[in-house]
Amino acid sequence: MNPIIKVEDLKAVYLVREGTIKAADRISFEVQENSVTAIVGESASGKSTIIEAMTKTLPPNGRILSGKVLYNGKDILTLSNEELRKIKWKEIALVPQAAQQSLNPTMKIIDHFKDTVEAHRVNWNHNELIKKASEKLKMVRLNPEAVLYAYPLQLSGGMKQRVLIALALLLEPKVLILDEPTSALDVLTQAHIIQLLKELKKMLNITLIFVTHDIAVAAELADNVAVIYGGNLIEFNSTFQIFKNPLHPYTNGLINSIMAVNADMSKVKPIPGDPPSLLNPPSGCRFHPRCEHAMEICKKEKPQLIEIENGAQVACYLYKEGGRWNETSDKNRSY
Amino acid sequence: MKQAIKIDHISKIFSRGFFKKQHKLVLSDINLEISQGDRLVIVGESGMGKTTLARIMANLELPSEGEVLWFEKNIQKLRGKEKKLLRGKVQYIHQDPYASLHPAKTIYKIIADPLRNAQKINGKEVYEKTKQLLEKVGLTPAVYFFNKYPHHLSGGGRQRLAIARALTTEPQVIIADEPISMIDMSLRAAIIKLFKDLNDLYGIAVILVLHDIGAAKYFTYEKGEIAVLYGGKIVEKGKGREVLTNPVHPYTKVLINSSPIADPEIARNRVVEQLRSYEVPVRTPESKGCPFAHACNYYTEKCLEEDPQLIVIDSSHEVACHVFGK
Repeated sequence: MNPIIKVEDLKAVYLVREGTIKAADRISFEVQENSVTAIVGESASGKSTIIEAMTKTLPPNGRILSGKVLYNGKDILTLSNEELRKIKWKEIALVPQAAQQSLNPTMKIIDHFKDTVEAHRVNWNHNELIKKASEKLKMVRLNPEAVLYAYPLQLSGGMKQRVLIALALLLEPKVLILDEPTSALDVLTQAHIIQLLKELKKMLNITLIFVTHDIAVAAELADNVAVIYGGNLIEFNSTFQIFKNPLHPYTNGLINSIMAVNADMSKVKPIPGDPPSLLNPPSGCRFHPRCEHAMEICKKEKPQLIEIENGAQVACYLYKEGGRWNETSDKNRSY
Repeated sequence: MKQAIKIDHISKIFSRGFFKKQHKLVLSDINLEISQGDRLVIVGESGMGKTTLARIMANLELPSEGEVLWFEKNIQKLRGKEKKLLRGKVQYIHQDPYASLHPAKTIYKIIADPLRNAQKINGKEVYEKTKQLLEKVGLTPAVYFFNKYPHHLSGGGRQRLAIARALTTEPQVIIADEPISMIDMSLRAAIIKLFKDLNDLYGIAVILVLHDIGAAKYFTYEKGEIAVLYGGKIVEKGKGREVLTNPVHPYTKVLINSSPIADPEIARNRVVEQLRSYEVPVRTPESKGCPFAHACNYYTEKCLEEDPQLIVIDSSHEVACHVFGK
């Protein structure tokens, strides 16, 4: 397996009146070909910023300060707009957040497909377009005859989300990036979309990257999980390991605080405290005010992401390269 | 135990249009009861009438038919002093803590103003009570928050403040509409825990409207009832633990089966039942049959014709289904 997307040292900020919001701080991770990667974090932790920076779709006040996003060895961030147009949608497609508002209410669904094709300089005639669009709509289990000539307001929330996925698949991308594909949907519709994404993954052999605030959604879909806290990547591991053996105290707390239907309710334990403000983040490790293992060093210096074993990475002073510090034998541990 | 709120054969119809009136049946024939110091959860998806039901229970909305009883008195017939006295005993917490708090008032004022009004106290007493209330809901140290504004707090902090404000009238019943839907994942369990504590420590009856089955299970784990709403009807109700471990109605089953599970091994191996339709049913007063029939995989002719009634299947478990309710 080789990485199809490699993010190196990505740093992005938002400029606001009060200062700069440090939304993504030195993020590095790899996405393997044909895998599913979940980026998990709370709201305002910078998880959407990462994928917006990766695709160069940050809002006007967003700035990428440093870093590289390598797609098959090419740095996306240095490409010109015209070169980027060749990659976007044909190789990397993005399904934006808030599917409910992403479709133009004055345009029929067919016109959205037409727009996309024109914007990416593909020469299809009308019949070809309809054929391809119907094919993609069938893939997401929608009836093309009913949907193509409808306005967005005639569709339900789940249907709009599926139309957007079909739209993203139109030019047969190799990488599909989804921002919060299941939030703002009902429980049943959410399960339906997850099921659909699983099938698409199998059918089309594509690489999926999705952002979610619900770590339980990651459990169903992802191969690898990246946990974001306060703009930092704090843990990267395979899904099974994340749930079986969470390394970072925040990941552990997050998993213990899930109120899942099958969970042992006497073991549910909320994380104390509040998420940090990215305008004035806490010094050192950004989790230290809420962490039960916090030490002196955590308040002063920010831990680096280190590799533990089998590709598991964590940024926490409880660990050294290759494993956990032993409380008794490593008395004079150095960081 | 003494009853706190009882709603008796409640129906609600929303009408619109002038020449050609269109009627929409949002709630039909609902009976629900909560004792003092008990817990109740109303679950269902959006568009099923959960919020309307909660608002009717809180007397913020009038039912089209039926009666709402607060502490065994019909609230619609009460007037004057008696009504005012009871009004404070039932408090309603709104869904969105970003919209329900006054942005230009300090946190101290948000709590102290209603406190003066409701308890007729002033001076040092108000200061002490405000401090107590903020500490009760976990905003500690309280003095640190006094001169801050709501926008300084996170979603969880705002929701705690909204809860503290509801406590200013010393209520016996709190009704909260989707208290965790706007709140971060890591803070959700803490808010539900706070409601549990209010119930355990101060004996306040708590009614929560939720769409998250996991949260409903966490809340009713020790005690309390659950009512599942579909298409404006209660399709299943009973002890929370019993309903969520042995669901009978096909809708409850699908709802439980579809909720995300935080265990990759179980999550990948389970088979989620596909419904025939995911549309929200729109009912009119003329509609007949079970509201779930259009989506159900087990429907029969009878389901399309006749509206199923709640049948007691166990001492603490009722279900409205022609096929499974035996």
